[in-house]
Amino acid sequence: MIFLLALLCVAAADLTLPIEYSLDDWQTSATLGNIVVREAYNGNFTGTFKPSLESNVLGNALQNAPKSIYRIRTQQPEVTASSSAKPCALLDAKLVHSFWVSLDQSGKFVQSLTVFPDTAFATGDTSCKLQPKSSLAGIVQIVGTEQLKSPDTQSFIEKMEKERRARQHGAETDNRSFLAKYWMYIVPVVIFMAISSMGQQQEGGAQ
Amino acid sequence: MKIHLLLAGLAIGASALYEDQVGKFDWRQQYVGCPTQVQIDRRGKLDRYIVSTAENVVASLSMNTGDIVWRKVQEDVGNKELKHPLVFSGQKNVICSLSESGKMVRLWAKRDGGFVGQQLLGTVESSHAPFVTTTADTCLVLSHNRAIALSLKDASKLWEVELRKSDWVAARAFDGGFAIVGGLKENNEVHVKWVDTKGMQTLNKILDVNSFNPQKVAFTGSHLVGFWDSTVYALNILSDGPDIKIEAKGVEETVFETFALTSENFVAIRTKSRVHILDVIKGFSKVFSLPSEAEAVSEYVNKEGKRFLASVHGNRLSLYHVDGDKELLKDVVFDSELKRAPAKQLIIGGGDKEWEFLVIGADCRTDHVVADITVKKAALEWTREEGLTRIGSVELLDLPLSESQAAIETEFAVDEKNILASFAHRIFSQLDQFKKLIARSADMALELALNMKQMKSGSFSDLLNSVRQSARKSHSGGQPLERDVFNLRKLIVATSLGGSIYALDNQDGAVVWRRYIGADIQGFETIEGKTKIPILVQRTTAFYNFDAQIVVAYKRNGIGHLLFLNPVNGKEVDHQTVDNARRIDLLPFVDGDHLHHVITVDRTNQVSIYPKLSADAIEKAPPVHLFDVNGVNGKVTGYKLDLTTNRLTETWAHQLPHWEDSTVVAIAGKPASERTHSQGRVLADRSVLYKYVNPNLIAVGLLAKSAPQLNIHLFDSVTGQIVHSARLPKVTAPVYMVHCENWVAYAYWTEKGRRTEIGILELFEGDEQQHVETFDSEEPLKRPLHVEQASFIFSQGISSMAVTETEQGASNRAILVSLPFGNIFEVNRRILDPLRPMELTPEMREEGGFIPYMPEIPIATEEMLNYNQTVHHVNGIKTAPSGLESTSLVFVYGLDLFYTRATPSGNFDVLKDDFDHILICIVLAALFIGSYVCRKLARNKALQQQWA
Repeated sequence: MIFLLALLCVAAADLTLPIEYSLDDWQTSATLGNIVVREAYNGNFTGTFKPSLESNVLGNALQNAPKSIYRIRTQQPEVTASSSAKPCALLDAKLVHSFWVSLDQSGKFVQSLTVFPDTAFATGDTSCKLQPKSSLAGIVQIVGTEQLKSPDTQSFIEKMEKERRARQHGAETDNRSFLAKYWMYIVPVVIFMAISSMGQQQEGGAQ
Repeated sequence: MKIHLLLAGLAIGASALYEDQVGKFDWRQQYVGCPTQVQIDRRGKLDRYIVSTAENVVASLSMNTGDIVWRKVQEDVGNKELKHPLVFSGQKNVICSLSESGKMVRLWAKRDGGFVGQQLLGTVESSHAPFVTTTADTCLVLSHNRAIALSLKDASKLWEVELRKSDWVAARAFDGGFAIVGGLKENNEVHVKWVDTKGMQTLNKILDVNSFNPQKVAFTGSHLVGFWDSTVYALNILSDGPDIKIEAKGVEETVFETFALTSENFVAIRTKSRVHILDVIKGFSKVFSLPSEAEAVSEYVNKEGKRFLASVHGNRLSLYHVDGDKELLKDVVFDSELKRAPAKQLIIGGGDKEWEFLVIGADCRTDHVVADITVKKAALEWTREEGLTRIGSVELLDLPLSESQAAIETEFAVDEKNILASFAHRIFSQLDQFKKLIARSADMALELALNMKQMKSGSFSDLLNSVRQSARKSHSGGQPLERDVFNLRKLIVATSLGGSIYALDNQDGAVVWRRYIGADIQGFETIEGKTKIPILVQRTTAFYNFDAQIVVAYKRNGIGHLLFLNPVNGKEVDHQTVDNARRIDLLPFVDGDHLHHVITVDRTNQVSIYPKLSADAIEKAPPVHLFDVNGVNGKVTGYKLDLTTNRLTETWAHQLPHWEDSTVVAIAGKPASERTHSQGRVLADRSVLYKYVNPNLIAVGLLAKSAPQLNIHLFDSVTGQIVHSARLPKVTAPVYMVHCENWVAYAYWTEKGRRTEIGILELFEGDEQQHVETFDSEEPLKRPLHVEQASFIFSQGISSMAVTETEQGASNRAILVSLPFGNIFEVNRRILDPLRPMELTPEMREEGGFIPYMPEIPIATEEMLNYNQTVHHVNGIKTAPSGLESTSLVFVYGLDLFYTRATPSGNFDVLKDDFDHILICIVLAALFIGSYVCRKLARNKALQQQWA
């Protein structure tokens, strides 16, 4: 029981990615929030974004620097993954971020972090102003590393085996009636007989 | 199951050729490589050159025609250059060759190249340049600091002697055995060893010398001649007794090169201005000095013992009689081409009145020259373009529009208001067309008449040959370089790592033009470790009022050069030098002149654009994104290019995982011209799976070493998003990858199965299409991609991989795979498909077109694109679309060149070769006449009925 609990704890260990942002090419940077990645028991990952910044702070900063590049990054030991977006597009999307995180096979190493202004919230307003009802939020999509398949010889052999067995034991039992099965042979014979008998009758009639 | 297989075979269709189609769409050119050592073999009926080359080949060339008599292609060394070139030595019947920098010794029969025997000498390359010499029955090999004697009968080892550590060795046979000499630079020593025919050492001597430079020594007769400290030294290694003396003589001028001559005890030295011949025995007295500058010098001794000296400079050849100090030929022009590469080697074939010479250029071009010494004239008899064995990059370019096509273009381009003028224009262009038609018909008639004449005399095979040859001639010689109806004729522009640019006609492989840039140039190293001299197409020939333009990028002494050329005639348009270029590429948009500008990025991320962009073009330019993989730390960075300041601004960055332990095996983007015809795949249940066709997608293949694993990352180069990453454990090199449309095909060696496998990874957006009209990288995906994947066993090795390309992308794609035994195999994408079902459901059977999954890709010999025309050491395959949707042009390069057409979906838009035009004409005519006659008869009948 304790072992199982320990296992659960290990499996449910979260990966927290602190997210920073900058509008001046990392001369100054501030914390945007955290992305928490959780591995489900089936091996899939789910991620949530927890902002730690007021919406207005970010909104005003973006409004004040519309020509800059809005950049975000997460720093892991020795490695940085960064991405960028246009401030105006983000303002238009009501500060809703769409994060895409790619993880390596261990699920601990961030291969890439990409941010998009979420187009679902876009109003189409190009004025580069903070939209009403804007709130800093993020939708996180996690993509893991998939293992590639080797040639599937096993299933192929099984299939061959099945076919071989089917051949040995005859075709799968066919429970249609005799007529349903062989009608295509019977019908021509019947027609032929009918025609020939008709012909005989006619000949007889002529005589 | 058998039925399924049969169906699969039928569905794909046989792509084999008919016997009469051999050589119709394809050609092959066989090469030997850049010659490093040449000998003349005059025994037997046919005179030959025996050559060994830098490409690990020993071959025999006919002196009359330059054709290969036999060729022995040895181990493929891949993209790397051999540390030491192949050396050989021969007696009258057998030659003994030492390949792969001394790893392997092989014996070959001289006349027919028959294999006699072989011995493996080591698994690593020899530290010193290996040496080989032969006597009547023994071959002595010096390699890996050992002397090994082999029997010339069967290559069995006779004896072996250890040598002192050396970085230069040589040997010569004498009556009692062999004298072996070696030298080591770091100890400044020369050692001499005598070994008798049984392998017993009779003398072993170590001499201290002032200094020893392996680059400046030559071995002639019994003398080791070297130059150092402004002194020429000679050491007679055959002089008796313990007191081997070193003779020395000071020289006034600096000696650049010391080289041996054929006659014993004479040596040539090259000083700044001249070449002198010294007699070693007579105290280095000058025997002869060449009166003029020379690139290559060679000596020849005829049967009477008379000595001759020949020199070549540029396109001129001179021949001197050494003893009589007589001039036989003086600066005779043998080639009209002025911009020849300097000669690096000259071989004299000798003769009485007509002398034969072989001139090997620095660009590996091999010319056979025949000079008549009575009339003092020389002629180029044949040429081999051996530089084509080291192709650094290839492009297939469209030919320019023909005059009449261009005239039509102009006719519609000019917006003439005056109706009379445009009428006149029309009439003139039609007259012009008519004139051309007559000229062409006259040519054809003449050719036919010639053929008829040949038909009367000579056998059937002669006729066949003449027809074939006249077909060849009409392709290369007669026709001007202009586009044909189906745009099947292209210009193959290739750069050679030997320092030349070539343009070949794809009809027969004839050289249209060549341009020598310099043997001292280097290519650019790609991150995968390949050397390339890239060709970038700035403007194609699609615009009749502008010349096409390409740029060739290379390095000389570490400085980047950009050479702008017109690909049709090879004329230089411009030349630029660039410092510190880290990346050279084309801008993805064109300016007003339809020209893609070249951008170079230096180490400080400063961008230069050639030629400069106009303010108007900058304003109109779409956003330009670049990405960069750092080969040192594995950081991948994306940049946005600001065209006003020419600076790069970083937009994204990430790290390739497990970089320290990995090597990049492939980075593959997609060509801008690539087209995807269908946006989705229809499944058996009639639903559609939409393809994820991202033109900015880059595939990176990484191979982890300590725990062998292949990692494939697919990322968007604009946003840096890794849209998919996958791994496959227990995989080792070689790995090949092609990236096309929405899929990546990869071939690898699996440690687990100990075999080659090919995998395919296909990306789909799902059953809903997100990007309906244009793709936008900056728009996030609505959901993670739907990835389909499968892999297949490939029962052969793979040496190169490419994918066919067609104009509209509607035909099936096929993956072209070159196999190590010399064939090109076409794997149809329908076979290499991740959606092949394991079992066919009744719906699938009804629908048709499904091929059930089979774990192995069947390899049928009929499906080899190059049937029996094997091609060796394939370095790459280049494909290009033609004007016919069914046809993709394929050019395979390596030691051999091969060109063909591939039709992965069959020839659906071309009438078959055996299409019966006459029959269909007769049938049509008969129908027409029949209907006419019937009408008449019917009318008669109707009339008669009315009378009746």
